Amino acid sequence: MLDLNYDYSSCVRNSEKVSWRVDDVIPPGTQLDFSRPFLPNSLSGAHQLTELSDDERLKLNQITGNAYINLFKFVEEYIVATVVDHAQAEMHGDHDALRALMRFADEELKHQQLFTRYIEAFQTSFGTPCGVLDNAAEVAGVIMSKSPIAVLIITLHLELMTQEHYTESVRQNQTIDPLFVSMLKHHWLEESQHARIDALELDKLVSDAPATAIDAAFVDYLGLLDAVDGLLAAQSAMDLDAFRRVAGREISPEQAQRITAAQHAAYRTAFLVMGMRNRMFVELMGKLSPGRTREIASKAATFAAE
Amino acid sequence: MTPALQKLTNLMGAERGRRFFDQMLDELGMTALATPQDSLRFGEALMEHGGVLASIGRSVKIHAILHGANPKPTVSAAPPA
Repeated sequence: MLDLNYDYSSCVRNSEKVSWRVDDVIPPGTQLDFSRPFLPNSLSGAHQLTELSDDERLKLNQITGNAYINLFKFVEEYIVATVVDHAQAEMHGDHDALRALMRFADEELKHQQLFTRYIEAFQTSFGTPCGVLDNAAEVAGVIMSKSPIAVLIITLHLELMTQEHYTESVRQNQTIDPLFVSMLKHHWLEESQHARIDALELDKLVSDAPATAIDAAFVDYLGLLDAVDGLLAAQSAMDLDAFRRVAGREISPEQAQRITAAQHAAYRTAFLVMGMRNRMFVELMGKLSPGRTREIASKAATFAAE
Repeated sequence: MTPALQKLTNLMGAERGRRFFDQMLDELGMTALATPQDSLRFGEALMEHGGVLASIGRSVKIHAILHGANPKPTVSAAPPA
């Protein structure tokens, strides 16, 4: 149904070519450089807040960078569990698929360890406690309670979105912290295979699924987007709290509202809109249900406008 | 070939795997694994055999759930009167 031009074996070969170790990217004891922004402007709302000083905008960007990495670590929790389920379904069966899925799960765990190391370095050196979402197990439970097709659709969304962040906003950026760029580059190298494996798994599930099941999965997916948006709003509020501590000055209610709104809008663009509008994602969803792609586009426009 | 039969023949060989598969279908009063729900039932029955058959059964069961089967709701035993 999805008419894909790759297979599990090619994903394993590519994965072997680009494989890396956590210690090579962030060696133990790494000190972060807080003189530069961590995120490009396209993924952070801080630059829009012209009422803040340069130093305050830099600090808010770094707070956002830390939360951004935590959000990846956060969603990888459910992705590992999902991929292990898919690997279990291939046990004693297709060994090419099983190898690809086992590598996928291993790499996601490695990414979590990489991000944990970064977050620990951030917490040690930033100087101000910054709250981040910490209910990964609950969120994993909510996502995994949806239909397996819906879980793969949102996973594909997240994997393709991650790649787009790196290729479109990070790779060529000369102003942001080089360690942050390196971390996202190494993440992207392996996520490229993950998105392909997601699509291969999705293709298997939809090939024998009735149209009603595919339709129900899109309803689940759209609902999950709202759930993710709720998490992004919660993170935005935590960012404001962290910013208050780091700024060490009075923040008016109006200014607080503007900071939270800028943070939330930036997260929405990064985590929702960019995934929903990703060219490959739109193309694959169009093969599943052309009608539903219009609904996704309309919801993306709503997220982008709010 | 269904995933259940594929897994059995991968581990037991074509002839023995097919014979065991047909025997299991007979025991379950089924003629084929036509739906994910059929595969789920087959997987759960395999799991009762223990050993590597249980491993195949778990895999067949999860495959069936991913393809739309509904696992049976867990019913807790009624407390003694």
